[in-house]
Amino acid sequence: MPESTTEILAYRILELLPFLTALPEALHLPLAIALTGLVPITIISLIGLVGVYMERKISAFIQVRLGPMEVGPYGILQTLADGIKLIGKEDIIPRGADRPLFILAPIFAFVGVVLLFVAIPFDRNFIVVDLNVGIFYLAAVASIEVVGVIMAGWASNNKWSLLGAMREAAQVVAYEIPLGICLITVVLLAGSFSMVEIVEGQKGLFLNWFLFRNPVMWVPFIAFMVASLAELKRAPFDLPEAESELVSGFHTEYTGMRFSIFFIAEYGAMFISGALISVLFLGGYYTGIPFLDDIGGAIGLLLRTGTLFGKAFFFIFVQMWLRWTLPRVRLDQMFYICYKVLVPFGFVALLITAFWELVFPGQGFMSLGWAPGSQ
Amino acid sequence: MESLEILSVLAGKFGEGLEAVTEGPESHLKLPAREVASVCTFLKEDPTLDCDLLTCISAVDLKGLKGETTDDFEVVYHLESTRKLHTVCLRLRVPRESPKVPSVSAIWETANWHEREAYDLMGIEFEGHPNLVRILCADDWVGHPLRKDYEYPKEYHGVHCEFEGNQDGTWGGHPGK
Amino acid sequence: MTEAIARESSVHSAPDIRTEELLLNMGPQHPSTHGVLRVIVRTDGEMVLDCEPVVGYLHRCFEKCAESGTYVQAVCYTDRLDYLMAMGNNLGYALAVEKLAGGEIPEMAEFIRVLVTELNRIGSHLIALGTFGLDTGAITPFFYSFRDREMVLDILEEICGQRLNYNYIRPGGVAYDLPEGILKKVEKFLDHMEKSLVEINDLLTYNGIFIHRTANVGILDVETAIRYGVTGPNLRSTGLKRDLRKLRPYGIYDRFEFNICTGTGEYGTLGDCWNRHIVRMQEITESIKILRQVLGSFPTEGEHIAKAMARKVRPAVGAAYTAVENSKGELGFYVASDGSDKAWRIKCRAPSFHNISVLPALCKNTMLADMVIVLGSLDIVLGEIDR
Repeated sequence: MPESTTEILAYRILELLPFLTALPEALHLPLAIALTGLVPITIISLIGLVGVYMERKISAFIQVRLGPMEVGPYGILQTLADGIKLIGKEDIIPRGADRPLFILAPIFAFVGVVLLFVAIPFDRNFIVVDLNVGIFYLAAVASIEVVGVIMAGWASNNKWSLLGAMREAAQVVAYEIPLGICLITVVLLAGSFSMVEIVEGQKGLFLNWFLFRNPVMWVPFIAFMVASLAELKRAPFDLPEAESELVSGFHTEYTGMRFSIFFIAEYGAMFISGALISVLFLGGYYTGIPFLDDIGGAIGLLLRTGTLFGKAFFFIFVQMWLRWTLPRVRLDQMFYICYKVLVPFGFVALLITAFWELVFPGQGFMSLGWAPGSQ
Repeated sequence: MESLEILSVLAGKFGEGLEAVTEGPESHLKLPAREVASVCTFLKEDPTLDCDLLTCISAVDLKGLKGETTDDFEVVYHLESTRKLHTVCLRLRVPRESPKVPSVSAIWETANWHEREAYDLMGIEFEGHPNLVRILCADDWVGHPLRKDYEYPKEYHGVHCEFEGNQDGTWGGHPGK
Repeated sequence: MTEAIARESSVHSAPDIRTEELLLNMGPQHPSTHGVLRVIVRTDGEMVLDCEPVVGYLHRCFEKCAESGTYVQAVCYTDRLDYLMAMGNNLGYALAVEKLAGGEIPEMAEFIRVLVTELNRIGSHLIALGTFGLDTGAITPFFYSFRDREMVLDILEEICGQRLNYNYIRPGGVAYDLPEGILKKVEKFLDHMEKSLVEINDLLTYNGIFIHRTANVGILDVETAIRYGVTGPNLRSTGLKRDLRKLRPYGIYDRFEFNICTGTGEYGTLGDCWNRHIVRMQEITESIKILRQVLGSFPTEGEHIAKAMARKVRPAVGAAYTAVENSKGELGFYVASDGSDKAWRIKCRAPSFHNISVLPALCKNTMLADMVIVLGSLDIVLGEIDR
């Protein structure tokens, strides 16, 4: 049985830090695995750093201004400075707030994001754990964040935060339905729940990407993008944190490091949704140019990981672009979009995809007639 | 309709106590305080007059004004018709000891807040007003600031607010002297 | 006030069903109440059952302060009423005092007055549209409109030295003469503004989500508006053509051709938030039209203030009410004079005072998000509500 990346890393860590072998035998592997857990947390924090800088610069350029320019060349070190400032802030817990819940809430949100990170494939063998129920796992774990948000809203002892948390719970839970429908559509095309299998199913020319498999695949693509915007609570679906109405929604009362945990969780989730969109519809870590995809070794690994990061960051850019352009939709309009637009269209697309797979199994409609499909 | 005609129509209908004044910068109708509600109702409902917009209710303290013998308050109503495009000005006086005026807030909603302001700043009481409480000053403020004999408070909730200027409220003199 | 709403909530819950109603307090410090306004809202979940605006947090009793200085000294108090359209306030006050004092205003001063007032009106409407966009969640149009407003502020700063509280239009004329080359700058700004307005309209006004948020929300009908004394773009959006610049022209407004902008009904119904917004957009276009006519017929020389009123103003004994059309509505001053150089009583009729009083009527049984939109569309300035 091939060893997963986690186990490989764990043994490497034991080799690198021999003093760990002094501990009892039974603790070796769990401890090393716990240390490997630091890797996704670090990566997510770094993504948060880059994401915040991107957001400030992109919003600035859209709003005809410059953004951070002072700290470091072109303001690159701005987020670092902000992070240091946030760490140094006083930790305020409001009077009357539910202390244990207040402290746990950001942790839930962050843990939800880290757990999602576990299933993102960066390369064929470069994935934390290649679960054979990857898609199912993602859909299930995505809801942990909701618990964190509701806890934050309740524990803040603030009517406005409570309103924000209630809106958020309603929104996220509602949009998981179109999300699930799009996921199932992709699973139909790939024939498997495993994330690596899904990407492998799109190997070859970029016309093999699931987006181009049949004439209706753009519907799940758009639906997934809209639904993930709503899951992330980004504009135009940022009702839970509607600044102009609720000050800051469910995280009004959070300051300093606690607030920055929510913040980093949000940007990590943005990266994960971008990575997911590219994995499901746009070929994942494959560039779509066959000779580039066949490069092996370390260079190939870097190339493919870089491709996935590039696609994910492109979608982060699109999400930020949408945020600074569009106004906010109202609660009932948001539900209308979910239940009366995305779900029916998603179902119809699912049915058509199912029929297509029956008639032209494994073949994209771009390659019908003149070349056989990739599989 | 010209203001002269309006004033004569009103003076004709409501008889004694009403007086049309046409010289001065603004022609207006003087009426006794108790008549104001009936006059305003007539102004609003009569189809030729049709004064549907109450523009402003102002309260003036006449104590110490040159040429005035009494220290009454004067309440001034400015009305307008959006369809007939004419304006009417009503002025009435109430004595200082019992400044009571019938409220017109049932006729125009505008009057609701204007009368609250006149009560808050000048101390005129409007009878029949649904909610005559202070609107601009704090709820526990003492006194009516726009009166000419208003005494400035020495402190408010422990905050010292006596200013070192002239105690009669005028400017002049070096600050801090 | 609060007790009235609290009492009502216990009356409304039926004895057998206990519905939980939330008594929310918005403000006075709140990002979307456009100033220190407090709104007490009684909600049932997301639906607003009743709301009550509580004003007075910015009350400085300007009317009392103005009595302690001369007429000329009181001009700087009027700036701070509707601080976003300070020229309009100055103009209203100056006209009110001139009605009592009499006298000729020089032609040059009249032209300058129209120039700066219409520039200020454009600036005020730009803020209205920017902050309204912010309320709906569109953050970018705010930056675009403020960038354009900076140009207006630069021009006005060059004219009178101040960006916000101008203290420029005085009884008798204006305080200083225009600097050299300012008319060319105004013309350049007008050319830029026309292009920029198209851009902002594309971004905000005709955006699908914005239309969904604002059309058919907070519909104000003509009778309710007049009953509450609402004037200005809010009243015109209901379809009534009432603009004091045409109805009782003051200054030289009767020489210029411009339309009265009413709601178009293109999206939503007349009197809703979208139509209030489009009226303000159209008014910017009309102001540009007036300004071009002003620039076209500007006198080459003249006095900027009537000599008789330059230093001291002594109106005759009497009292009168004068109103001008401000960006928010009809701004009126009732000035009572005792013949000296200090005012006896100045009462300011502020348009936003009436605009905010209509909020409870507009917000019955709407959603909380809609209430914020309605508040933004009414375009209130706390400075003139509280005075």
